[in-house]
Amino acid sequence: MHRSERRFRRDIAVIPEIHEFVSQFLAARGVGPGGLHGAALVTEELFTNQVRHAEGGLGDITISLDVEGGELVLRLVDFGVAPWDLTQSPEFRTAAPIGERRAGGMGIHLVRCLARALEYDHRDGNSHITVRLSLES
Amino acid sequence: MFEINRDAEGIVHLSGRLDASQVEEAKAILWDLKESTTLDLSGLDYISSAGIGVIVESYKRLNAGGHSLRLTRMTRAVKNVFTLTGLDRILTIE
Repeated sequence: MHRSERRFRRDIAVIPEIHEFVSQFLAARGVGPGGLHGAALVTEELFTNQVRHAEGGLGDITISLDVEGGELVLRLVDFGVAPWDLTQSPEFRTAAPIGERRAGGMGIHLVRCLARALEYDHRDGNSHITVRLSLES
Repeated sequence: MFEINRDAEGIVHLSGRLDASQVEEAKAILWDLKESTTLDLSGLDYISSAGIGVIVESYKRLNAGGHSLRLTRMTRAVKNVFTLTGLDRILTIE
């Protein structure tokens, strides 16, 4: 089976469509609920971070999915944005008391927990994010 | 999709998928709570950091008023997300 790619409008409202895209891709490859859940979560967190934090943006974000060596390879391209290297985000403090908890940073933390590899590159005015995660539950 | 409603006993039931596109719907109920409340998450299939953020803020608001928030009947997948963020050691999860 081949890579699957779609462009999504730069809008949090399209997240259900992104989840459907990821679910259909993985279900067609026999991936169980555990793998689906992790993949959907990583995709949403990366997309949401780009929409909320990357400056600029030409309107669409491309998400492509592929399976390589038993891993899901997710590639996200955000067009016409300023560099925003998510791999340089500070560590999320899982032991922070409730009074110090803020929403920021949790999404990247979850991606780091679930993904085997996370890469960022900025070239030709576009941000490129590549994530690899196991498809086992 | 995501649904949230409060039953006659005051228990708040969350079901479906609480992703970033659904947080306003969750806030409308959770940030309006004014007494100790139990959340039933048995029907919740999925939660992302945005959804967790709404629940954490609800917890903080209720705590500030001397009230509690209990999270019950989580699925394994949803519980795992709370565990990864360390919130299983802070929130009241049953």
